[in-house]
Amino acid sequence: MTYRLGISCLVVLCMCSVASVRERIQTRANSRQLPPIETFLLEPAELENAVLWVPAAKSGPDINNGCELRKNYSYSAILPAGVAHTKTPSCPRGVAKLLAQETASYHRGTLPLTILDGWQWEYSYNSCQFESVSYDLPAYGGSWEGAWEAILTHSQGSIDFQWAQIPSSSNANHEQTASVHGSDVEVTTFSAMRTRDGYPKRRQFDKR
Amino acid sequence: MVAVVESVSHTGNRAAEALIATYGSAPVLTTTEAESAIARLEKALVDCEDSCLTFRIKYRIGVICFKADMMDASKDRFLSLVNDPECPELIHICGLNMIGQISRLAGRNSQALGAFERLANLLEKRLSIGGGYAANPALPKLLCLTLFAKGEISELSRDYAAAIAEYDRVLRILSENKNEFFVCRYAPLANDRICRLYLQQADVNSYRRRAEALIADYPEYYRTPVVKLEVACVKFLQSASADVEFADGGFSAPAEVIAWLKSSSHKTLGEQIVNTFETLCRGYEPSSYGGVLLYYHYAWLLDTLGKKDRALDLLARICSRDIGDISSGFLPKSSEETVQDYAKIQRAVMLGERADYEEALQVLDRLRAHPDKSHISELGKSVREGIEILRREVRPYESQ
Repeated sequence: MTYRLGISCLVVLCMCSVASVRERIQTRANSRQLPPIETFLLEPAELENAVLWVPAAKSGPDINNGCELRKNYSYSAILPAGVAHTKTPSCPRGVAKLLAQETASYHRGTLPLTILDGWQWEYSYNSCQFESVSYDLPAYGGSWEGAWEAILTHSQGSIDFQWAQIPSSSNANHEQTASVHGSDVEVTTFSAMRTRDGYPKRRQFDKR
Repeated sequence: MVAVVESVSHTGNRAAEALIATYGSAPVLTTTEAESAIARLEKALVDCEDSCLTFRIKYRIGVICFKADMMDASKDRFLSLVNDPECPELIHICGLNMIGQISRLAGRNSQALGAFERLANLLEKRLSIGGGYAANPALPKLLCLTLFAKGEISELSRDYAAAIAEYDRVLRILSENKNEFFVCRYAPLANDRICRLYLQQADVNSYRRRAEALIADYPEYYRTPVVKLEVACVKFLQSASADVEFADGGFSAPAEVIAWLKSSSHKTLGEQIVNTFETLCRGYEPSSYGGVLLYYHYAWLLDTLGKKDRALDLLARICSRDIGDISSGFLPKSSEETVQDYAKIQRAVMLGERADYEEALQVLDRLRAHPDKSHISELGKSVREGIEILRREVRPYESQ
């Protein structure tokens, strides 16, 4: 009886010891200096849009000795839209595509969003055209040259990401992770073309 | 017993070592590399009796799938982690973030919003407990970026009210956190976006209030000069009862003012806005992104109103700046360079109109090289050709 009791006590003692050691090991593993947990973060997209009046096209000079206003002057111009979209090798494709989508939202109805290879916004067709538009040149004397202006919408954007290092223990030192450059995009489109009202043309025979 | 203890210790170390070994890998993995790393980790998992380490390894497998562009597999791994009630809080937080990010990148916006909302609530709760911000400085940033992601998703779906609410939440978190770096980095950006969203909602009064607060609170923000200009233009168009919509925000407002004046018979109204532009330009030099835009719009406004000589002076000031000196601190130089090159061409056009052909050609000489067939490159060429012919043909004729 005493012998059995002794064996039972020993077994219980052994089990307790193993459990205690396991617990200690687990605690040690928990507190072991494991690397921080990595998690993917996207910085807010840096997207700068500017809408500007710009010189759009220039024709001439068309020597016009009579200095008379010409009517029904016809001029054709193509204002090429453009997209330049790149990504770094480490940037996930979805991130670059996200930047393209965000930028495209400022050029609605002007450019189709053609995505190649899962991420790249490519644009090679001139959709923003002004063809065979007829203009009367301004009524300033001696209009020997024509100039046109238009509104340019210029977007420039970039997006950065990082694998943030989140320390698993609050006592661990936290190092700020630097962001990695992901993708760049530059888009130009034009609208609202019109004839320029330039300097009044006065023939200055006495000048120079 | 000694054998049992040694075995437990050994398997724990082996699992930890397998986990640590994956940290040296490249930021982008091939499928083969990922599968091999996952196989090693899964082997280590079999014997691992440390529950915390087990969760760390399972999380790491999800990260490896992500780095190998195996997005669906990655998301499944994170989903099974966050649905496990035993999952440690930090792994749960990071897992929710990964689910949100993967869903967003795949265009599954409602799933992304759901995961980000759960994450934001969890983080807010954790950070609101005393000392939460200081205890783990990575978490406030995670919370800010989660809310920005929610705001951006709502913006793209044109849910402007929801986007404003998210950016306001960012501002509240930043005011509680008081980390100067985060505040400088994200607070003006969140305010700027709120301004734009108010305009997109056609709530001009809220826009003006918020924009004026942004100008007062963040004078050093790189867009502050532009925001000032936008506010002045929106105010002007509102007072002139111009029928203008701001579907994309205030950045088109200066061009809208100029377009309105070009087509309007009330050019005398232009004098009011000229005074405003003049005052704004006195506060800045064309040596920053905001300053360049301010001067450029002002030059076009003056040109529209027939004040050609003054417009030329302003364009000359923009053109004389070395773009190397201009730094927005945020943007690549291309935006400033584009504006500056259009300023050069416009100046050459105007000098040509004034018959100052030599100076016009000198200005065009300083134009940067642009890709063939681009608008600037083609325009620069045609302006140059025209001016060269005028110099050759017109001046002898004029002098006769």
